[in-house]
Amino acid sequence: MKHLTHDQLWELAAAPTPAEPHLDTCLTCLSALDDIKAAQGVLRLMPEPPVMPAAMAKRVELKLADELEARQARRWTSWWPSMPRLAFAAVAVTVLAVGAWVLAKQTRVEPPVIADRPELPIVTPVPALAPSTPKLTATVASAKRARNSTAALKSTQTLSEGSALTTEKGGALWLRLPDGSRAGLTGASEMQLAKLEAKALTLDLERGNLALVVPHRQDRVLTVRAGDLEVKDLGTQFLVSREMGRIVVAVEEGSVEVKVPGQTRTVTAGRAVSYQQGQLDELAWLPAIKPVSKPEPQAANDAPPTPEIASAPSALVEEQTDKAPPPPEVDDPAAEWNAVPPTVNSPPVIDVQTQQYPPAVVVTVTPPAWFSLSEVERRMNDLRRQVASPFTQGGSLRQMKAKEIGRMADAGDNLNAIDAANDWLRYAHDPPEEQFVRREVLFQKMRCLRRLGRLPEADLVRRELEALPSR
Amino acid sequence: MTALLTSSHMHSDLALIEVDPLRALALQARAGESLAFTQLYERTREQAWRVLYRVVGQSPDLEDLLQEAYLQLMKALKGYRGDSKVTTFLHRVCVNVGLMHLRSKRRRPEDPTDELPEHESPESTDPERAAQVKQAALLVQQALATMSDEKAHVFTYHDLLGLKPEEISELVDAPVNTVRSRLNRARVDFTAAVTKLKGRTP
Repeated sequence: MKHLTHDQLWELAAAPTPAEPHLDTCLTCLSALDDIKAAQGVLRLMPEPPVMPAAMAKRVELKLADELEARQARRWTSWWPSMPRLAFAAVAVTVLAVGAWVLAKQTRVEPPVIADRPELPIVTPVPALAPSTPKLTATVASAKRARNSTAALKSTQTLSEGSALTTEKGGALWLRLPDGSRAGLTGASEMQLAKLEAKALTLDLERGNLALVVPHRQDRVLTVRAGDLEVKDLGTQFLVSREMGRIVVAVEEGSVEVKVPGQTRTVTAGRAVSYQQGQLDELAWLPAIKPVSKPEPQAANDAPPTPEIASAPSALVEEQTDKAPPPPEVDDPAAEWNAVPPTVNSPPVIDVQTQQYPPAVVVTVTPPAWFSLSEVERRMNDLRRQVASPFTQGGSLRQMKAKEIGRMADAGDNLNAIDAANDWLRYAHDPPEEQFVRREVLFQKMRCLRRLGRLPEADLVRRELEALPSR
Repeated sequence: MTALLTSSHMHSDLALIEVDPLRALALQARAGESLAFTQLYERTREQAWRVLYRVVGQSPDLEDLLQEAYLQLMKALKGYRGDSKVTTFLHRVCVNVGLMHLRSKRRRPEDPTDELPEHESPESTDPERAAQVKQAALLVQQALATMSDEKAHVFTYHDLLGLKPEEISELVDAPVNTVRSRLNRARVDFTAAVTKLKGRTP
């Protein structure tokens, strides 16, 4: 006998009056039907859902709203972990964009100029005028057979910048420069006042001899130009000579800076340089011998000066005509000299007066009486002959030793300089060309003796110097 | 041709919207509009409540289950293409939430607070009737908890919610015959479970 299926029994159980003959004879199917009826009865007992409580609905709504808001926030904040990468990417894109824009701007082709575009007037910038430097003048202190380009020069005549000055043979000219310096032009010389300014004085020596007595000042530069050679004073007395293509610079006191193409050399007192055909040679120079003062009483071993020594050395005093610094400033040259410390390098007498040379105080230098232009000319001629002499140009051993003595004296090595001078003089023979070198060696010895306070010995050396024939 | 296709798609969409006015709200809620989801909740909350009530009975967890059902709906809307009724979509979510609750409840000890009714029911006036109803609901819940997931879903859709096999076929994404076969087996399991459970009860 075939039993009924479960779905058939489920349908029969749902029916109010199940009509199935099989159930009358099959207890199994009837038992199953009872179970299904019980299950369906349970299902029928299931309660109908009531109306949803409003309070619950509101609470759920609020909770959902909160959850929606939170999820909305998480939606935005979910981007936060990737924000650094996004920010970096944004910055990189921005930098690349800006760089591309800059490159595009730099390589941008200029637009074509429109033909009918009105041209703007071209304004040429006017250079600003440099502040004009006040020009100064030089004053003629004394003149003899001297003239400028128009007429003969007279004392107290003022000369402006650019003036060309010449002296005839046997003539002489002393100028008072704006800064108080004195410039002396010997006979048969020519120079030009190239620049006369407060901070720069420039003299161009065309030919002849030029003597300068210059106080050292930091606020201006005094330059003497002679061809390619340029001399800058460092506070000194010096001479410049230009003849026959040869330029000679000799330093009486202090030092100067000599500049030629390719080199610059500082020349100190007692030294000179010769420049010709691009060659600069240094040689000894015997400064003017100053009159020796009377021996000081406290020096026990000082020998009393001879009368002729005490008097002014007439041989060194320039003639009345070319005494450049007029005597009113120095009434008694001998008295002035006595006031000078007994050193050759002592500065010259300086008078301070206020002139129309703003803004600094004008320092007027009065050259010593023995610093005459005639003597300068004579000595410079001697130097020229020395430079032109085969003896000096050859550079003999005795000349080299004489130069060495001068260098030792310049360095202050007085004792060694005196010993070297004694050796040199001991073996001295007396050729005409060596007299000048002998004079230099004696001068260096006297110089060192004075420094050591051995004045009697220095006086003896001075007498020997004066005994030497002058050329 | 493109214009005609577009026009026909528009007509079908409009027809669907007319048939199921909840579709537009579901699509707007899928796009992230909170207001649309709130309106969708207001319009469907009674249905969801009834489904959950039929599955889990009178339970203090109903409120949490309802909230959980809508939260899952919120997630499920991301995959909603608008080609099905929103109520069908909601039924599936609620049944799934209810059955999951029954299974979890079966695994944990019985909570005495489950017996606390929150609202007045018709049976509350008759204590004996109320006890029978409560017993019946408990049996159904326990029987459903013992059934497999497929059978429990089909049985719930058909015998608790009253859906037709064709509707269940759409919900479970299975042929109607499969639904029928699955329903028959589910009834066998349910009857056995109830019989077994009733034999334990005093």
